[in-house]
Amino acid sequence: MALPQDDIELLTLFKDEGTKERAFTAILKKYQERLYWHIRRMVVEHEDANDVLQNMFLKAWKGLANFREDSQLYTWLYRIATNESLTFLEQQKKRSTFSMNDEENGLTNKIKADTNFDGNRLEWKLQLAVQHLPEKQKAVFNLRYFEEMPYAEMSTVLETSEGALKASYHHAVKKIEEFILNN
Amino acid sequence: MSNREDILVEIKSISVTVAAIPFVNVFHVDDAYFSTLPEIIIAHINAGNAFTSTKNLAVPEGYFESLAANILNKIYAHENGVAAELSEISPLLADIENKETYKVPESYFNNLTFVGEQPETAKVISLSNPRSFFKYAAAAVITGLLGLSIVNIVDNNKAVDPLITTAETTLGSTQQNSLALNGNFDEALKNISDNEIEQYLQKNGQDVNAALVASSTDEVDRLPEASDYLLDENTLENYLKQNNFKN
Repeated sequence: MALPQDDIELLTLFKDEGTKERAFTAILKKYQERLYWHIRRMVVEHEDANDVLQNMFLKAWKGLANFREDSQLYTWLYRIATNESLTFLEQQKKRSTFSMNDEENGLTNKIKADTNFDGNRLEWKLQLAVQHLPEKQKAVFNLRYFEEMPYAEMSTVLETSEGALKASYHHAVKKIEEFILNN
Repeated sequence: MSNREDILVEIKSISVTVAAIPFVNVFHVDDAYFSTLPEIIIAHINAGNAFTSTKNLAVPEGYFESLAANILNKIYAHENGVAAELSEISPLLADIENKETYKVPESYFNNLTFVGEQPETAKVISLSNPRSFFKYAAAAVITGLLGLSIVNIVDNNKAVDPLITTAETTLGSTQQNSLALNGNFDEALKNISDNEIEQYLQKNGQDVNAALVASSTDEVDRLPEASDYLLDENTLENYLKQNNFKN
């Protein structure tokens, strides 16, 4: 039997023990790619993205029973994914011996280590520039530029006012422009 | 979701440079990744649930019966590990007894000391330092003497004896000068009346009678020498008669 794609119906099925696992599998299939790319752009490496993604879905499984249906499922999942990514980056920063603000920071090196990396191409320069943004500003830029998320939904995901998000996005774009022009 | 066109319009208003960057996903992932991911995550969830549910169950059957034997086997395996390894590499070396060929003098290690090594002795810390007591005692004595001297000087300056004042006024400056120049105390004293001397002694708490006796003995002639007694047996008699000591 084919499962519905609607979030509310999937949540109803998840609350039934008989259909719980199937409903969650449907949620996984529906959101895994979007969430993966969001996490991947934050943490850069596939292995790290895979760890963070699996971890966030385990947390979603545990928390979904208490999920309030007045908010959207996908913004709730994005919030978990963003928080998990930021926590992962924070842990990496603590373990690292070098400063993350340094020119040769860990994420920059990871991008340069990619087999497809081409420093002359603008899209790769954009990725290098994004890694120089502060973590939360990076999340704002990625959600808006790559995920094309409206500010109202970003406000729910990042628990920040729309005005603050617009200002943060503006600053992020200006910093990226400066980086690209200087490199 | 916002339209891609909306995002581009917005970004152009902020930066034309960034808006000109091609919207390309530079990262890659295997095609099979997303097809297998749900199964992997569900397996993790089930494994987590299984682990949680079996956490409080009893240990595997026969676990404790075989536990001691298993531990001993591991110990023997560890101990025999070196010998087994050596016999595998070189049976010849393994056959040689593991005995120490070199010898050291008896009780060498018990008396072993290193150059410059000193036997450790515990530091002795006295409970009290006697020098410090004498130091404080000496300081107290000096302070006391200084205090007494100051009090004495102050008192002397404050209380000028009225008798001396009287004597000074009685003697007059000429007599004082002659007294100072000649040192003739007897003559100076003749000019002071007996009453004045008696008052002075009484004021200063002196025994007047004793003072009179002392003053009279001062005036008597020199006592006979020891040889005088040998020459004349009446020496003492004569001396007493001469000084009116005999009743």
